[in-house]
Amino acid sequence: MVQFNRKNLLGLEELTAEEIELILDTADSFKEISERPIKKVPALRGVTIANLFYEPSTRTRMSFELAEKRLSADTVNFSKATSAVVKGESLRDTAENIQAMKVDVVVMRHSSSGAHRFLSEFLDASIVNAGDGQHEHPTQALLDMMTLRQRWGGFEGKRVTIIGDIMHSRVARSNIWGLTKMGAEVTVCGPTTMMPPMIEQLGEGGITVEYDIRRAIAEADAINILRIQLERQKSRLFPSLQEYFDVYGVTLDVLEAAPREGIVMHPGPMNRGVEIAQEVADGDRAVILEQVTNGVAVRMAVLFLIAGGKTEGDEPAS
Amino acid sequence: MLIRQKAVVMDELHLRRTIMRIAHEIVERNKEVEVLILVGIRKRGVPLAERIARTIEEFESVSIPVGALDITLYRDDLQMVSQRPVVGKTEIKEDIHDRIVVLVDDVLFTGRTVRAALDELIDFGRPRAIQLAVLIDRGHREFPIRADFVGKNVPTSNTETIEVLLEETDGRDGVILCDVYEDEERGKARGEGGRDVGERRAVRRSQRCVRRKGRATAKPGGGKSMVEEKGPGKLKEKGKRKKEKMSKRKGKAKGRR
Repeated sequence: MVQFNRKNLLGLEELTAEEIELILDTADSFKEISERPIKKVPALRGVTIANLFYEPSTRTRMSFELAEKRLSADTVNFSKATSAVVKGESLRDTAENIQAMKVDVVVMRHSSSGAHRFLSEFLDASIVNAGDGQHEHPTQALLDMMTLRQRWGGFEGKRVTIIGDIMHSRVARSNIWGLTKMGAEVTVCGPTTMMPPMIEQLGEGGITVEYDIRRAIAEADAINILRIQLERQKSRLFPSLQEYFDVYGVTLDVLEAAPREGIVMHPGPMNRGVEIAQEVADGDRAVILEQVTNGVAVRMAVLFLIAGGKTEGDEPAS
Repeated sequence: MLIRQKAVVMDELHLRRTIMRIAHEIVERNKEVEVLILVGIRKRGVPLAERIARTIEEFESVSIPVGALDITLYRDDLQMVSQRPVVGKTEIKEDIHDRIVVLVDDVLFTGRTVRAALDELIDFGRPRAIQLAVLIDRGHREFPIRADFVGKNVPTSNTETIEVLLEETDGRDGVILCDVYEDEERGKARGEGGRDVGERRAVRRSQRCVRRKGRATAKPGGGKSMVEEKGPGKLKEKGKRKKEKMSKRKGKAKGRR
């Protein structure tokens, strides 16, 4: 049987297909807890988790916090604006101070790629990546995959197209790693200015790059639409939001090119009328709210697998 | 760790009859069959609960809902085990409020699993009552927990274990008593030396076991593994005391009249 013996979850790149499968199986079991009259299990009683969010977030942060609370962990929150970071404290100092207060798990979002790996080198606490720069956002990809697996049963031979700003997207990178490891085929699509060089070599066995949206989704079993980071508009990667919508926006008309049963995903927050049309976001192909529900279950699974046990000892009798 | 079969505790037929008896006892005790819910503890409690429910359905012609409970997240040793246990699904679709819930498990041992199951169950509502049905009670309780319905009491030592095999999970039905050798080499040596003993002796031994405990299991609701250890003398004594109590009660009733 597969065992999950990792201290940290830094990204999907380092996980094996079996480990990903185990996380998804565990998440399937955890989903039911959120439907109970008392939405709480005592699995992480006594475990303290610090949520360090150096970047703004609603969904991910709430999702993590709910997951922690439903596992009975104690949580402390930190956000950049109200912390000593504004007084110039370094990341390492902040983290070491938090560890000195005996925290078991650190859930962190940071704008620098690799911030988590850097911290993992000297922290005893477990680290869960809630998004680092343009690198990875593993729990988002896991919840996307959980949603897909519930529909499909498995990934073998399935095609997923990711549309948008591939260059700056950690969601895209984690999805590429996770999906290709599980045997799905990934196509990425976006303007040339948002397509990093050598992207076709990313993931297990590489991916396909397509610049025409209709061609990209022609055989897609699922379409994952990335958020256009509006702050990037200043960097002149595309002429205007309207022009982006005209060329890469997913509308009902564009969806005609995709297979009938192809589903539409979005990691949120959505810019309606930029990367996704109103009718598509609210349409019956969209599984966007299902993704959010699954997000709590996936984060519960990850936290349980990382913090729900000791590193050594015997299995006692039942 | 090496596990080696020592004796057959129940064969296929015996197992089937035991489930039948438990089903009848549950109905006998709970006259309102409609309020019953059976909840199996993963993993072998679930097929057992399903079989009991099917049996009750056959002779009472009412459908009994069956749920499944995975107690992993409620284990009291969760922070002590090194390997993360695989978490199974808990499925209780019915509202358990004001219902009589019968928890079903294959083996009752320390009672810790049942403690966890009780805790998990009450997170789903407030049942009128919770009862416990087990196929095998092997003693060694560490918590004050007792079963209401017992298939068979099997006193065991700490170096033994009970393996319940079910068609649904293991491909065949039966209950076997096994020796557990922490030291694999020693277990192998022992096993080779004892091979000539053959299966016949093992079966004979298990039959002896059955005879010895026949009396206790014949009593309905005989979940008291302690009874065998006390021996037949005490058993009689207990019966006498019960009779005395009964007659006392009768006397009281008469006096009042």
